[in-house]
Amino acid sequence: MDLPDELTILHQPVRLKVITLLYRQGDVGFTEAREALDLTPGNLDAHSKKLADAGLLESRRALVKDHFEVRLRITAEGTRRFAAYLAALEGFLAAARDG
Amino acid sequence: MASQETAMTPEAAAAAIADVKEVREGLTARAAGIVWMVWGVALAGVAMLDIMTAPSIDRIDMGAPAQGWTNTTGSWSLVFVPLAFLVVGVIATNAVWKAQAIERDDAHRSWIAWVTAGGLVAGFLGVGFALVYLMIAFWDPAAETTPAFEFTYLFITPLLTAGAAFAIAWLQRRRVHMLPGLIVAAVLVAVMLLVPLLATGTLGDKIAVAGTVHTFTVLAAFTAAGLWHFQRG
Repeated sequence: MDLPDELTILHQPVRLKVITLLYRQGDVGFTEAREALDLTPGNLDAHSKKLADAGLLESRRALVKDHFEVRLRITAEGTRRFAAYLAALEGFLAAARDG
Repeated sequence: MASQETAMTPEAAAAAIADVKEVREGLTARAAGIVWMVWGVALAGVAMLDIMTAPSIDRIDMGAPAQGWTNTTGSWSLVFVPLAFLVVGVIATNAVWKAQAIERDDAHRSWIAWVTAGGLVAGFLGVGFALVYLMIAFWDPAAETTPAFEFTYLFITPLLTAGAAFAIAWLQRRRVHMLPGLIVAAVLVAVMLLVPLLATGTLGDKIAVAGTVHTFTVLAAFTAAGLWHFQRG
């Protein structure tokens, strides 16, 4: 699957699932994301950092009830790139279907 | 690394996207918690109302015990009295899940709630009518030494509420964990078995104690299950 350079960071199973979840939910707690995606904390943290370094998501600490928790949020750039990724994916699938 | 990552096929990428499940938001947990607490109040109300009114209505129907059954209208009508609690429980449950669905922009299948309600009411009326029929058919007030069908309060009511706890846990299984509901059902069964052994006095006294303990156990256990779900929201 030949993708533009800016989209290759999304073309990894875990990072793709993370960005998909954030694209749908917008803002998600780290623990909720880990449970929804069935990932270990280390795995989610590693891939979240890569997405954050690429400017596709933001991570912040928010006060929830009586403790702080990490919350993840997709950025505008992340939304744009994910939409571009979906468009590219649809093109590849259509090409595969049409032979 | 880049070549390994781009080796993921388009189909695998599509499957990964489709595999992303909804985050179990706090709203769902809180909705489930409210449902448990609503049914705790409703079922405790049914049990309490029955304990308080049944003996009086039966006495009115009987007139003087030596005359036996002089009327049965009250006893038959008694079956309908607690229905209001069940109706409130069903309406509140449907409203809570509908509000949750609206908030999450999900579809809400009201027909499940109404089918469940219909089954619940039919079941309640069926059991109630059967018990009243058996009481009138087989119990002679003139020869009364013990309350009629004491096992209604000692065993049938607790078993029905334990069944209700299991049913609520089952119906909500795709949204919240079943374990708290199963624990509630187990607690109700355990109390049902223990209280008659521990209560002292006449059989009538045991029924009064068992009925009261059961009512409070229902309220406490259902509320505890509700709060457990609620605090996870």
